[in-house]
Order: sequence, then structure tokens, then C-alpha cells
Amino acid sequence: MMEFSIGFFKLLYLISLVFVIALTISYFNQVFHMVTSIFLRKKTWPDAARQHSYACIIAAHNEEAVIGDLIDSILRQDYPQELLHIFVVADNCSDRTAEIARSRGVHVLVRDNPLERGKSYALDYAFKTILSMSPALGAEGYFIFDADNYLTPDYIAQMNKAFDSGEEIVAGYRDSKNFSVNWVSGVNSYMFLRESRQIHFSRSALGIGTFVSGTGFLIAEHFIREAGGWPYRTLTEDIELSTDYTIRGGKVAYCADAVFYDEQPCSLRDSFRQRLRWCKGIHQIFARRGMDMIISFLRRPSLTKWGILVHIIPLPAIAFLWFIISPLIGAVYAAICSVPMDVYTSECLNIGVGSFVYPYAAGLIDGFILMLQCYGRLNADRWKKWWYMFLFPLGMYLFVPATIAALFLRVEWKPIRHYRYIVPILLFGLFSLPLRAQSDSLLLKEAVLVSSRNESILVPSDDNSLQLDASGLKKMPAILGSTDPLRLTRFLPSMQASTEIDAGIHIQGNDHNHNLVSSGGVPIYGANHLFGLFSTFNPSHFSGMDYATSVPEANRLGGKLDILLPEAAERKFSGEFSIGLLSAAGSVCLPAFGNGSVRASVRRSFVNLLYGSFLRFESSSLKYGFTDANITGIWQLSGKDRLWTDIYFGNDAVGVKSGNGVIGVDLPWYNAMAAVHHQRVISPSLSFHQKLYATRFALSPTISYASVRIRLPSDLSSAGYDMFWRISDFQAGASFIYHIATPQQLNLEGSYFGKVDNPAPHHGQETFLFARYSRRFDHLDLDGSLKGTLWHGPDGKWKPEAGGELSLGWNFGRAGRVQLRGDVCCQHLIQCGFTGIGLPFEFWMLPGLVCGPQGSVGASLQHRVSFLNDSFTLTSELYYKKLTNQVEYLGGIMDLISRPYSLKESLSSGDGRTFGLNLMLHRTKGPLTGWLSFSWGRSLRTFDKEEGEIPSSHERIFEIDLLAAYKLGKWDFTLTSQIAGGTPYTPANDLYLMSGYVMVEYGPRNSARLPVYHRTDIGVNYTLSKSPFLEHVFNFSIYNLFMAENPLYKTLKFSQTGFRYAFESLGIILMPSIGYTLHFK
Amino acid sequence: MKRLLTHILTIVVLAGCQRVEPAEYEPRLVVEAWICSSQSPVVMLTSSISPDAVLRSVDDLEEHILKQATVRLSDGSREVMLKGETREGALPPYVYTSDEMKGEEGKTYSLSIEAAGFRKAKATARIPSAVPLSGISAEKYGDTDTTWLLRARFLDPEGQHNYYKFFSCIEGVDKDFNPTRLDLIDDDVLSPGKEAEVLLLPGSALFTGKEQRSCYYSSDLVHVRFCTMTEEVANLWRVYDTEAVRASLPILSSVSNLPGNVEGALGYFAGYGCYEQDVVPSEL
Repeated sequence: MMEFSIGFFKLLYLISLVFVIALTISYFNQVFHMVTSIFLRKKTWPDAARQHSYACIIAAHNEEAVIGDLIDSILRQDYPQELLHIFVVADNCSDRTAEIARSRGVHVLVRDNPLERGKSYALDYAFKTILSMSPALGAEGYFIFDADNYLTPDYIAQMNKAFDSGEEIVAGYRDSKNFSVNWVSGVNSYMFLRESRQIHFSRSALGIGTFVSGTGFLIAEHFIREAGGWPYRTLTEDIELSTDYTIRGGKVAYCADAVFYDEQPCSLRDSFRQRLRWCKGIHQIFARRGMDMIISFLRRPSLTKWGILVHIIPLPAIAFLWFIISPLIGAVYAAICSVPMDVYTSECLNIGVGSFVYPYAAGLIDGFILMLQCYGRLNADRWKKWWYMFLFPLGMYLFVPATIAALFLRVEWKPIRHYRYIVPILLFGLFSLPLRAQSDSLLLKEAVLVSSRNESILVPSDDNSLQLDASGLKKMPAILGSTDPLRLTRFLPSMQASTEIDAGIHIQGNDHNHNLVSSGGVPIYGANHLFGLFSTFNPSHFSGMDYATSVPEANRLGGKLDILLPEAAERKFSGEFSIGLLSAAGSVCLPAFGNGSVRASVRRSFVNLLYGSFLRFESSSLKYGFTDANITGIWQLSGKDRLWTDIYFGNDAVGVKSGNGVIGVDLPWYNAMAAVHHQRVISPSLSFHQKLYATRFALSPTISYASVRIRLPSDLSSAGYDMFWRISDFQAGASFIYHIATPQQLNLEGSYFGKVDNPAPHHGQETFLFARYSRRFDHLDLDGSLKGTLWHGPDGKWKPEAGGELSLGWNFGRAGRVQLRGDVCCQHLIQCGFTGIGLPFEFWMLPGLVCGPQGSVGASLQHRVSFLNDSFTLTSELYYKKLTNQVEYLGGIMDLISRPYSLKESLSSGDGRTFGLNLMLHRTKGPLTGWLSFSWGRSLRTFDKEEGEIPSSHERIFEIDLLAAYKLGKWDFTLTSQIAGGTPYTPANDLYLMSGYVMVEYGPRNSARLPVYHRTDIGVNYTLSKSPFLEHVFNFSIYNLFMAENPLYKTLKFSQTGFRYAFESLGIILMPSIGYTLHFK
Repeated sequence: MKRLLTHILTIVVLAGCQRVEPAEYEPRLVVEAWICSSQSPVVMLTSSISPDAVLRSVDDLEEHILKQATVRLSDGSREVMLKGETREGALPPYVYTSDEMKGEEGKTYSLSIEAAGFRKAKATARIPSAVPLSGISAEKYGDTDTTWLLRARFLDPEGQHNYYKFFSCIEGVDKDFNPTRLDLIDDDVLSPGKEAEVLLLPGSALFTGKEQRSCYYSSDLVHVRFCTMTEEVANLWRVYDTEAVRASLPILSSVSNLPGNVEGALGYFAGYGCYEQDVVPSEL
């Protein structure tokens, strides 16, 4: 086990500090220029001795909306038109760009090359064409413009001054056309104004070279001639040019009086794409020329080279990536080693958070200064100038995900949507009248619909439940040849991992008994075999399972696992038979009574025959056996009516004997269920559903000590009738359920015959009415339900309760769907017992005599988004739930016989809360499907006010689950892996000798943690079909591939040679298994 | 770039895997003491053991036996100093006792202990009135003629709330009386006026390396001690029995600390009203 070490956090902190210092150094020049730009005077260029000849190169891709304005602004320059040549490269255009350009009388170069797209290729094409006609052209320099630019009338004249002074590359003042459209354009405008007014301004004034920023710059003709065209191919060819020029010893100049207007993206998506492209281009430049730049700087350092170097180095990407993942690494380490929160916060979280917070403050100051510097220039209302200033640092933060994503993603140039803006000739925005005109509409001639199928075994549905496909389940790794749906759900982020003996189902930190495990909605109260390694349900018998983290249709505090009834009758005989090293199962389906079919399945174990010697605790031996049977029929009675019958019976028997054979436990239990379901579909929007059912769970554990027998039988039976109407978006219905719970009784044999006052069976009646409305609007999903329950408990009192659930979802299109949900629930079935881990030692009881009904209030916020053609889904969820009237059993075994047995005095009640975060990345298509999930959560209880809040016995603070299934022809490979934080246990503070025995003095309850749990299973299925009627499936699986010894608890262990206090595990280190299934149809 | 980052992350995470030595364990004083009616007091002093995973044998416990302590017992009117003596084969093999004071029913005794390296410990205990056994019977157990179960009978006096427990010592097998199993009785579970019958199971030191017995043999000379005790002591034995069962079945989650009554130490000081009887199973 890893002990908590402060040194680990110190290491994380040190690395973070190094990054902070490096970022500070690299960004210092920006702060420097911001400050100096306040005090320095603008560099002005002397009047030009002569006017030079230029060519204006405009690379345009479908720019019909804006190209005309730019050409017109060039034609209106206060400069001899005979010295200006305008070239428009209509690059892969499908609109009227070329036609509009020709109508202005300029040179139009049409380029169609879908394989080589982008500005750099267009420029190269233009320059090569011009070079071929260069002697006739006579241009001395080239202006590069984007098609959405607009020049002030004296732009070229001003640039000419700098050119005439001998500068070879000159950048202009980049202003914005559309500052005031929205906050996105406003923030982007501020960004470029900052470049122009602070960075370029200061550098120019100080004689430091700067860089060109994509458009509105001038480059001397000889550069192009020597290069034979435009050689720069990165996504930011402007920075590449600047880098190349600087390496050669040049300095890019800046002309603050040469103002041109550029259009900024108006949507967050376009803005992010643009930044992603810039960041990718920067990374490309560093990859290609970074070393050259470093060497050049080291050989002859200069502030110009330093400015370019810090511009292209991918330090921000790496640093912010580290600032994001280091708290996560620290969190995982903190969870593993139970680090106190204050240590984690001070040593790890603070610097990570601070690295994001402090730059915001700095950005705000910078934005304020910039706003003042450009106040008169900004064509917007005053409030917008201030409001966008506040948002400016947040807009700059967009670079953080962009620069990180650019490290990993492949990025291509994508066009930004353009609008026409009328920029007044009387500029500097005093009377701005930005107008937007829609681009011309298009006539849709053809549409192709593409859809693809979810190939994962997990299918999310709109109501946030998940459906598990039983056929896919059979391909999962098997334990001793047997797969299990409940075990599979433990790889979902909202369901906690179990150990080999913990049979409990804990959904989002709830207790086992909070959940509804059912077949067709009929509860099964003791749904586990063999300590939770297997579930009650035979996977051969059913087609799928529904899993959800809430149960609005029943009074339960937790989630549900519902085995689905078949949707339609099967028309032909089919079945399967399977055998593994643990059990054998068979299932047949027969058409019946015309439009019906019946499926019957049976399963039986033979554990002890082959695995008896493996199945033992280190000091105890274990014997086990189970049998179960299902019969499900479905009949289409008429066009509107459908009927199901569903019958289940299962029984188990466990025997545990201590190492010395003196103490033993025998534990038989059984489940029985029978139900009839009826559905009448009157119309697509009107249907009626009802079911009548009975279900029973009974157990009879016996603890034996020599000839003394302590029997503790208990049972729970329920009979109910449910009905509801579905009318379009509306549902309403009622449930009437009668419960009889016999809490733990005490029968003694072989010892003194004292009087025993066993608690009488608890009778309870649960009646509830519910109404539900569910509707999908354009973007909004609304789902609300109200439930009123009338409870009549064993105390004879009637108790009304109200509850319900409300869910609001908003669909953001490609950004996914956000759902906010809240619910109020109650529950009238309570389970507790000696073990507290969901074993069949646990008995059921009803509230009223010994405790009150349990309740919960909870909320969750979920986001789900699909990407890459819906082949991936990312789901994230935050949840919080408060629990009331939780019950735990305090009694010890000896309490039952040494003093009067009082159930009430053996119970303690209290409150609890659960909260956490779940993340899941799910791949649903392709040969490789599965998911990777992470969950962090707490499940806390308060039973004793003096003791305070303690973790529940099943809490796992973190969990990482991986499930992967790969199909290769007839082979199916599956892997499941789980890493989970250890569950709490009460540690020993001291051991001491007492009456010939070693006693334990315990510390605070649940204050220690078992080691991190890890298990990886793999499975291989080979399907052999030699005829259309028979299919053979061979399975080979390995349970616990890496032989992790996952301890179950810590206890005193005695042997012939001594004793020690140590962890104990089940002893199943690695278990290979083979299985065979025959499908016939 | 991806690979470099993967390597960096792996190194960082692995670099964090350190083991920190736990703080040094500070042992506590452990007192197991009782005084039976008409018998000398018995006090056993040990120090607690660190709950680590080190395997310890009986021989390793030698270092935990305290032999230099000052032990005083008072009955309210006089005080005696208990002297240490060795008892070979017992666990622990060293006790403090004195013939100068014998337990008397109804009296309350005060115990004080001073041992080097520990704070002073003290406790009080009252000896309730003893209740006699009506008799002890034997019945064969299992398929052999040599294994027996013993059943003890007694009549619970009315008008007082009594707590009972049995101890047994098999001559030549046990060095001292050991608590028998599953026979701690609160008289509220007994039917008034009706004789109670209790199954006696051999009480053996669970940690002696010897096989734990589930019955008696024909030739055993069994010393049976039937004790009454206060509610405080009964609660302690209840937890003791539960923890002893839990050691064999650790899936039972509830854990409890022995509700000791010694101030400044772990353990207990009990007063017992005792009735003793010797039996040989085959002769009953």
C-alpha cells in the first residue's frame, strides 16, 4: 500500500512552480510592452522620397460577401492607381468571388486544387504567376490582404513611408470592422488591438522587431523572387515568415498610421477554430524552425529574437496541460493515500487553480489599459467597451484549450463565416453603423442521410437510463464460464465496484437496499448469488437490462436494474445450452398458443466439485450451491392487447466453517416471483399498462458453535398491483402494494432455553398515485413527475408523503445536452444486518415500529456530448443527495442469546449524504467499443453525533473503469479492468492479551482504508457456425489476470505458530475458466 | 510529443510512490484482574501490542508481561500489596496475588496499579452474591462414548437482576480457569421460577496453539466456576464473546471495543460471586 507522502505533493508543486516561473519569464515581454506602450511615443516614418510600385495579393475562398469592399477600398487609396496592381486568387471558389473581382477590373487568378487548400498555397500560386510576369509588372513590394479586410484611404501611402525608409517587411495597424456585434467579436477585436496598440507599438518605438499577423502587411519583392514563390506552409504562415526573417537577422517593422480593418469571428466555435489553427501553426513552426531560432538567439541574442522565440515556443501548451492534470494526479494520489483535504488543497490544488486565476487579473488590467488607449477608436456603445473589456481575459483563456488541443489534434484550415459591414469612411467608430447582410441563400438539390448503429453493449436512452444488451453481455469476460449483467454494471461510473464478497449494489453512494432490482418492474429482494459474483438473473433468459440512477416509478432512494421483458413473441423454436466450470444453464423458447411464445431457463452450479479448495478465506472453508429457473411467456392477444407472464425461482445455500471447525455458518436463501403484465395500446398516443405480482425473499442463517445452533430466519413478501395510463406526453397511474416483512427472528437450540420475544411480522401497505409529464421541445426537454404516497405501517398509523422528480434538459446541438435534475424520494423497505455489505444475512423490515421511512432529496447536473460522427459519447455528471432516517444494525451475535432480544435497541438511525462526479467516455461504433470512466464520490453517514460524519462501509472515493470489446471476425475479445479506492474499515489501535485471547482495541470507525482494489479480467469468445441452426461459442476467460491480492478486510489471524493483524483476501488470485455455449434455432 | 508527455507523467506518478514509516507505537497498560468470593485476588499485567502484520508467537509475548509493578488492593478498610508470582503454563505466566485478602460478597474493592512507563491505573469492583448450581449433568456427544457435553442447572433468585457466566478449567489441560462459550446470561431471558439449563462448552485459551475443544472427554476432571457479576462486567464479557466469534467470521462488520472499567489502562477488574464444583463427565 502507498503511504501518504508529502514529498509527492512537493514534487508536483515544484514542477508547477517551474512552469509558473517559465511562463512568467516568457510573458514578461508582453507585460513590458503593455507598460511601455503607455509612455512611449508612436514611431513615425519620415515622408517618402518617392512612391513605390506595389502588387496587392488577396487570397480568397468563397468571399463574394466581402471581396468587393476590399477591392473598392484599394481602388480608393490616396495613391497613384498606376502604381498599384491588384491580384485576387479565387482559390477553390464555388461562389461569385472571381466574377465580382473581375467586375472591379482587377487581375483574377482562378485556382482549383482541392488537395492543396489554404492561404499559403493560394499565395504561392499567385506569386509564381506574378513572377512569371514580373518584368512587365515592376512591383517592388507585395501587400498581403485577407478578403475581409478594408483599408483606410491613406493605408498604402503610410506603408510606403516605411518601405521607402528601407524596411523590407512592414506590418500595419490592424483594427476591427465588427467590434460591437457581440462579445466574441468584441473580445477578438481587443486581442488584435492589443497587438497593434501595445505589442507592435512598443516594439516599434523601442526599435525592436515585431511580427506580421496574417494580413495587412508588406513584403519586399526580392524575398518572393529569391524564394521562387511563397515557401511557408504552416497554418500560421505569417509567423513563419516573421521567424524566418528574424533568424536571418531582419526586423519586421510596424507602421502605426497604416490602419486597416479586419473582420473578427462572431461565434465561439469559429473563434475557437481560429485559435486552434493559430496554435497548431505555432507548434508547427516550433517543430520546424524552433531549434534554428534558439541557436540564432544564443549566437546573437536580441530582444527581437527573444520576442519571436517566446512567441513560438509551446511552453503555454505544456504548462497549462500540466496545471490541469497535476491536480488530477494529486487527487488520485490523495484518494489512494487518504490525504487530508487541507493538505491536498494547499500543496496541490492551490497552485493549479492559481495558475488560471492570476492571469485573469493580469488580463483585466491589460484590457483596461487597452480600452483606454483605444477608447475613441472603438465603434461601440460605452457599456460594450467596458463589458467586452471584462470578458477580454476570458476570451484569451480560449487559447488554453486551443493550445493544448493543438498538441494532439490534426488541424486544417476552415473558413469563417462572413457578413457585410458598412464601415464609415469617417473612421474611428464615432458613428458606427454596422450592418449585417445575409449571404445569398442556396437551393438544396440533394441530401444524403447517413446513419450508423450503436455497436456497444450499452445504449444510452433519452431519459438518462442505459440499456445493456444481453447478447453483447455474453461476450464479456466470464467468471468460471459465466457472465453476469449485474457484475457488468459495476464498471459504470455511477455504480461502485464490489469486492468478491460484497454483494451490495451501490449506485452513487447509496446503500444496497436503496436500489430496485427487478424483472419487468417486479422487485427481486435478494438478487445475488455467491456473494455478488453472480446475479440472480440468467443471461440466457432475457434480452436486455435497464439501468438508471433514479427510480421515479417506485419508492426507492437509489437507482434501478430492471430485466426487460421480451418485446415480441418469437416465431420459432430456439434455445441455448451453456456449461462452464462453475455452473451449467439451459434455455429454450417455444412458440405457444398462436401469437405467443414461452421461454424457460434453468441454471445450476457445481462449485464445490471443482473449486472447493479454492473457495476459502484463509482461515475458513466455503461451500456453495445455487439453482434458479425462469419462465417467461408473451402473447399478442389482439392487435391492441399484449400479455406477459413472468415466473422466477432461485435458491442458494452457503456453508462457512472456521479453520478449527468449531464455528460455522449455514445460509440458505431463496427468491420467488410471479407476475402477469398486460398492455393495451389503443392508439400511438394512448395506452394502458397494468401488472399483478407477488414476490418473496426468505433466508434462514444458522450460526453454530459446537452443538449450539442460533437460527435467524427472516423474510419479505410483497404483493402488488400497478397500473398507469399513457396519454401522449402524459402518464398517470397508481400502485397498491402489500408488504409482510418478518425481521430477524431468534431460534436457539442446544443451549439454555430462555424466553425469546421475537418481533412480530411487520405488515405494511403502500399506496401511491403518480402523474408524469414528459415533453421534448425544440431545444428543451422537460420531464416532471409528482407522486403522493399513503403509507400504513406496522404501527397502525397512516402517513401521507409527497415526492417527485423534475428534469430539465437543454440541447445545445453539437455542444451536447445539459440536464439538471432534482428529486424527492421516500422508501418503506429497510434492510440491515450483521454484515452491512448486502449479504443475505441482512433482513428486511418496514418503518413504523422501530424506525421511520427513509427519505432523500437530491440533484444532479449532467452533460452529454457526442462527437466524431457520434462514435464517441462523453458524459459527465455532478450529483448530490441528502439521506434521512438511515438505519444500521449495532447488535452483536452474542446480544441475541445473552440478553433479551430487542430489535429496536439493536438499531441506530441517522442521516447521510452522497455526492460526487462521474465521467465516462464511451465508444459506441466500430470493431472496438467500450468505455473508460472515472468517478469520484463520497458516501457519508452520521449515526452518532459525537462520532460525527463517517464514510459508509461501502464508500470508494475514486474509481477508474475500463471495458473494451473488440470484434475480429468470429473472435470477440473483451477486457474489463477496474481500479478503485479501498473501502473504509475500522483500524486497530492496539492488540492485547485478555483471558487467553488477543483482543483488539479499535480506533475511530471507518477511519482507515483498505488498499486500492484492482482487478483485470479478459475473455475470448470464438463463434463457430457450421449450420444455420446451430452456433457454437467457446469461451476462455481469466479472472484477475494480474493476480492482484485484493484484501477484503483486516483482522486477527491465528495459526498454530502465532497470530498477527493483517489483511485477508478471498484467496482467488487468478482463475482461468473455459465455457461452451450451444445456440440452436 | 504524446510519447514524451506519457513518459513524463509516468515518471512523475511513479516518483510519488513512497513509503513512509509509521510513527513508533506507544504501548498501553493492560489489566486483567478479578476477585472471587472467598478467594484471593488475581491481577495480570501486560502491555499492549502493536497492530502490525508481524507474526507473533506465544514466546514473543514474554516481553509484554509486566513483572515490576506495584499493585495495591483495598476493601475500603484496609489495603494490601499484591505480590507477583510465576505460574508456569498460564497465559500470561505471571500474576499478582495475595493471601492476605479474600473476596467477600457484597464488598467493593479498589485496585491501584503503578508500573514503570505507564500512568497510574485504578479500578473498582463489587462482588455480588453468589448463586449455587442445582447440579451438573453430562450427556454423550457425537458417535463416541468418550465425548461429552455438560449441562449446568440453577435457579435464578427473584427480586434481583443477576448476570451469570461460567468458567472452566480442565485438570492437566488448562492452567487456569477459562471463560466458556455462549453462556453469558442476563436473567431477563430466564423464565421466573423455572430452573435454567445451560450447555457448558470448554473454555480454552484460543491462542495457545492448542486445538480448541467443542466437548469434554470421559476422563476430564473439570473444575466449573459459576459466577455472578455486575452489569458492567457482563457487558464486557458480551463484547468479548462477540469479538471472539468475529475473529472466525470477519465478514461480521460490527466492531466493538471492550468496555473496560480500568481508568488509565485497557482491561477490566471484576468482582465475582463464585460457586465452584468439580465434575468428571463419565461419573455423572
